[in-house]
Amino acid sequence: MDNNNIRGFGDSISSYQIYTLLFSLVVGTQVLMMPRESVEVSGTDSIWIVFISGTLVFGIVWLIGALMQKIPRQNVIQLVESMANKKQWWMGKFLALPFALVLGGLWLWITSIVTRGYSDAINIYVLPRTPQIVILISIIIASVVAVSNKLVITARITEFLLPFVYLPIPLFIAGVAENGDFRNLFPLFQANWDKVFYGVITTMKSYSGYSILFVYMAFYQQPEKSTRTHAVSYLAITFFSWLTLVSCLGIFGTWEVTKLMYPPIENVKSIYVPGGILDRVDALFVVMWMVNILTTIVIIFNATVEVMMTYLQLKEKRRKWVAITLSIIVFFLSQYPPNINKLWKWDRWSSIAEMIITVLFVGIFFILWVVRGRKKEEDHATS
Amino acid sequence: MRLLKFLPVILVCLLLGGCWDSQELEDRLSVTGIAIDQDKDQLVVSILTPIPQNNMGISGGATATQQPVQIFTGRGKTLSDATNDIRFQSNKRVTFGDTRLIIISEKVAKQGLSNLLDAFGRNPEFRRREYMIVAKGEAQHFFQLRSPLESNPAGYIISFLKNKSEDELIMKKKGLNHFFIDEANPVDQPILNYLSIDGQKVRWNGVAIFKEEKMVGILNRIESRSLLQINHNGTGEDLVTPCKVKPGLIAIQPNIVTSKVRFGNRKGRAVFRIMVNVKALVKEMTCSVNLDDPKSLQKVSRHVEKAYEIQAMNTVKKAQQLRSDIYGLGNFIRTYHPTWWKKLNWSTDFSKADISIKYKVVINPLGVRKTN
Repeated sequence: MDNNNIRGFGDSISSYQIYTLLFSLVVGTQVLMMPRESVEVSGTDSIWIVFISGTLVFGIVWLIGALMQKIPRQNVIQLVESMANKKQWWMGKFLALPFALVLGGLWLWITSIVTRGYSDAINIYVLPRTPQIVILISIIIASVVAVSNKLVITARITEFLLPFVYLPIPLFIAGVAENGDFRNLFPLFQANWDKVFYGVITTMKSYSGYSILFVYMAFYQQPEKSTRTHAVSYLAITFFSWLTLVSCLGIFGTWEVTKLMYPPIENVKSIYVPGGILDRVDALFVVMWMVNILTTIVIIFNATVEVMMTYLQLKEKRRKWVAITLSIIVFFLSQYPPNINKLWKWDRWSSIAEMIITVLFVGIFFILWVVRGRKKEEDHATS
Repeated sequence: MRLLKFLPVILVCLLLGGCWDSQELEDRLSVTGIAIDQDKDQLVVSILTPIPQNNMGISGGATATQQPVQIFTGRGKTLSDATNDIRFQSNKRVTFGDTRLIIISEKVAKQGLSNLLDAFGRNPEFRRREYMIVAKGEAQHFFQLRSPLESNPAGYIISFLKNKSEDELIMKKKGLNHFFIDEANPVDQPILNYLSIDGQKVRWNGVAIFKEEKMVGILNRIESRSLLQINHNGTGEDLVTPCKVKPGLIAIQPNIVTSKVRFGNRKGRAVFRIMVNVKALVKEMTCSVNLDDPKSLQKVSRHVEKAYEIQAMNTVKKAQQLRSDIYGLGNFIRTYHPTWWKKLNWSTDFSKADISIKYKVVINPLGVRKTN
């Protein structure tokens, strides 16, 4: 039996790697659709609503962080299992099963949605003749290769690829400077409370994936400093989302944004680079975004694999087989939505499910942590 | 090291999907320009494709008699229907990724472009930066141009539009992207450059005005000048006007133009006061006016201001008659007074709006010649 509880320094992830993981996690297919979806619901008020969403998501992340700080170097499955006596280890397994299934299932679902969203975008913009199944298989194989390694390797991949994730930032600024009209960003504060509420929920969708911290925080080098790291990460993510939104809205206005499938790509398409070089900046952008989406898939998929590895207490060499097995589920799940509308529906439901599950689980895990603390005290007193 | 081991695998996997979509350059029929006309109930779509081997110059093997471009024409009920017609005429794959010019005939523009342009919006090959113009007469005739300055007619028209817009003589940024944006916006009305053929040359005839998706009128060169100055802070062409002080003419070249719009609500009626500041140079003078004399200079300046104002107000009246807010004035109300905006029916209220335009012209009399 592999001892997953003991992790060496080499298996842990630094604060900077946490930042790269969270940033790369959020910047994926969701950000491509976020301007349209949020403007559809709350118009120009999305400009400030995005900050409320960012703050609320950070609030949820803070809750996860506060919980995980109590159980350093452990993930939630290990916390639940530790509730049972060592002699009754099967009881621990029994208790942890629903949590492993719910979290693993949720992340598999999100992975398949992102994978399918990615293949749809690639199918539309880059490879219209290539069968979608081929694109799906390619990305799933690439993800399996990545997640067949320890979680820390995923962190290193995102660290390596982060500069590519940043590259759209100058493009968005150039786009709005070249084609934007500041009047498109007004009027503000016109949405009623209903629209604000739905706008917040819609924009929060673009931040989905944060629940992976239930697993990833077990690998933190300095879990006690996680609040600061998470705050910096979500500040950067919120700024990125805001910039994407403002750039698209500034250029297209509310009416045209809502007509576009992926406004950020259309935004970049309208940029003119002097000198005739990079005539099709959008091609460069799509390639960069491929990398972003790949990292998103890898990060979430890895969380699923890690949960299964922990629950089944498998040796490290079995990781790739777990990844391959789970990838088959991802493959079939990602093929399930018959069209993009159904996929968007899934996307909405998955993000709402993640919110509910995260808040619910944080509450349950806090209770379990308190119970475990008391139990330990009692054991200590009786001994 | 482990990272380095599997990175190539990831990259290879990502590239695998490209097999189905690989297209050899020689197998592509790259479209540089599209002209859209109407014949009875059918769209007539002409595409202009350069022939690479005939565009390499004499040293590259091309001869002067060889055609530098080929034109394909298709017919159909929709744009894609007509494009399909073209696909069956060509031995290569028709690709629109290099399209840089869209010419729409006046007849088509008057019938409305919304449905027509839907195909451009859906096809990811189009980059939204295509130049888009309205042609006086048949659009496909523009592809028959054989200018000695440029072998490719699309290239000739594009360089014409690019240079003239950089010189601030015509409307800039009025391509597919802005048409989509203006058409979607209920306040801004689209405008496009309006060109005609003059022998083996093209001529800018002003601006085609749209109301939503349909072309409703034209502003000629002179009428377009104030629109260019107010909307884009462009200089517009030179103003030639009588000296007034003495017999003769004076040509003024606007150098820097800025504009400011103030607006208000007078008993529910929108009131706009547009101030245009022009810094200009004297380009030519056929009258003997001493511009060193401040009084004479002021008189000339006032006269130039008056001339500008009369032309600008004529343009405003025309736009109001056509109920097309080509200045985007409604955007000021929508932006800063949304509650008031919601009560307005801008199409009607724009035509009733009280709009006045004032010019402030500062003439710099200096050239390399002091007096006439």
